[in-house]
Amino acid sequence: MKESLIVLKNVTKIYNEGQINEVVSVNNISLDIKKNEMIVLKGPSGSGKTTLIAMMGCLLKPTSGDINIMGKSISKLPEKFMNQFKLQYFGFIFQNFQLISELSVADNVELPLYPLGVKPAMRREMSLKLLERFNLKHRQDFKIKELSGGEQQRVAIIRAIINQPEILLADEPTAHLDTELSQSYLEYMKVLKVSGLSVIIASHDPRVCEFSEVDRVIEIKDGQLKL
Amino acid sequence: MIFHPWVIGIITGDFIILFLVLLGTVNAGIINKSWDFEQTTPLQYKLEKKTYLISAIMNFTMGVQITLLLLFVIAADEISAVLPGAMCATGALAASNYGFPLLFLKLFLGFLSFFWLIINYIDNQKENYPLIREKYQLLIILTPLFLLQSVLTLLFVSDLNPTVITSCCGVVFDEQQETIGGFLADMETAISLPILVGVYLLIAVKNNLFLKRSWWEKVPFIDILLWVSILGLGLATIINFTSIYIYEMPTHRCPFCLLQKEYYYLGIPIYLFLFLGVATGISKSITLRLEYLFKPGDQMHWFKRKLNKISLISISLFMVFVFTPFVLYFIKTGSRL
Repeated sequence: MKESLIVLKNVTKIYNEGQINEVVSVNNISLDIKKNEMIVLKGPSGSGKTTLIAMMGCLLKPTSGDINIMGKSISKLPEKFMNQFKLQYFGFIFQNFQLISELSVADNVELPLYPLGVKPAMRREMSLKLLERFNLKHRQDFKIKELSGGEQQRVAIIRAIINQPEILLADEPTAHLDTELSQSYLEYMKVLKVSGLSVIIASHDPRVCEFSEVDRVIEIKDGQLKL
Repeated sequence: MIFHPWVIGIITGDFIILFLVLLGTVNAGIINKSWDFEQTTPLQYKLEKKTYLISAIMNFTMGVQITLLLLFVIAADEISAVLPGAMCATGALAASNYGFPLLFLKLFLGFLSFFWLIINYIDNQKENYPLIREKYQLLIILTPLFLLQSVLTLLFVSDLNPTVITSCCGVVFDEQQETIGGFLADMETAISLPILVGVYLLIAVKNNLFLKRSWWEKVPFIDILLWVSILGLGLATIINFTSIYIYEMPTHRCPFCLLQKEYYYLGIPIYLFLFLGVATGISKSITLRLEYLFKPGDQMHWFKRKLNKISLISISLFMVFVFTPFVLYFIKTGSRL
């Protein structure tokens, strides 16, 4: 039996609470995610999967309920400690990658290391090591806008794992990718899973949900788990 | 009342502080009433969000309160220019019955604000808000004092009359006067100076050599007593000893003139190091007390050592600055006043 990594207890998130435009985005969700699992949160647009993933990744606090990660109740942490936790244990891959087009590949990759206080020489060493592993070392000084879609995808993955996280969170990572790029993306996720990472993907892309390495597909509808 | 820019400035400053303190106090009451860190209810999450904001606002407010002490003295100095008989801040403060009480209150609130900032800092270093109730209770206790400060400020400025002749510092700090100023000026330096040096040495030795001796740490009030003593003795020394060597005049014992350009702003480092030394010294004793209650771990030890270091360096620099005018005068003339 694998040990629990993320435990959600009766988690609710309400936006604009008490106002006319109040939205219950996540409604009383309880969930137990094990270590080294690859989970897909599946659901249509507006189902609450991005909010749920943001709360798991310390980007948002719930309105009520408890989020416990590696034995720590992170939803109760003050902002400062929540940020530290996020920087240390999470890697993020966003929709459209969200890379900074005017910066070089190496500078983009090193971004998560700045708030961790990693020294410049060490930052460069860590980024080059990963760029080499993902066959991008020769592109280290290129601007993001000069890269192909596939290369940008790899830069986004490297940036997400450079801080050596325990958990990788990806929000609709294949939404704008063609079949070939989606497949290569999933292959990278497989490699990362094998290397010990836990991967949580929010997606409604059938290619992701049907991927062989996915342990569980959790369906969300109107902010609730669909059982 | 005089509509001097500085008068308008200090009224505005005090009332902004009062408004922010009242805002903080109302929320402090709400947080204190319903706080339960173990809960994961919407109310508790709201309170956690609220305390983040209130604590940031109060940090700013307390910081401004400390800064306003200096601005108040500068304001009094500037206002003295329009009051007949006044030569410096002393004249302006003496022109109203509320001047000196207001100054003492501001000084007292300055120290209390500093202690609040220290408690808030310690609270922010922990994941579970261990001092949240204490810091907000202290804020609630302080609120009447902030209210009193605003009332005294209004009474002080409305009492200022440019047609009435006021006393200059030479009169207020005359040894013959039966006032606090006269009492401090008349203090026998042959007694007060050895006591000041003795208290300083006691603090320096105790905090340097006996830091690890636990019985000292179990009675932090001794430390607080020593720091309060050095504050009183330090202020007395500035008036009855240092000032006469700065002005090179045995009858001029003003504690404010030395803040002016003519005297190379010598008063600024003297007061700065005295107040910083005392504030950090007492804060160190507070952290010792809190350490026993909450055992926050290594971060507290580091912070305690830092406070200890700052307090010792500051008070040592104060001692240097307070005796330097005498030493220079003695080297120059070979005699004492």
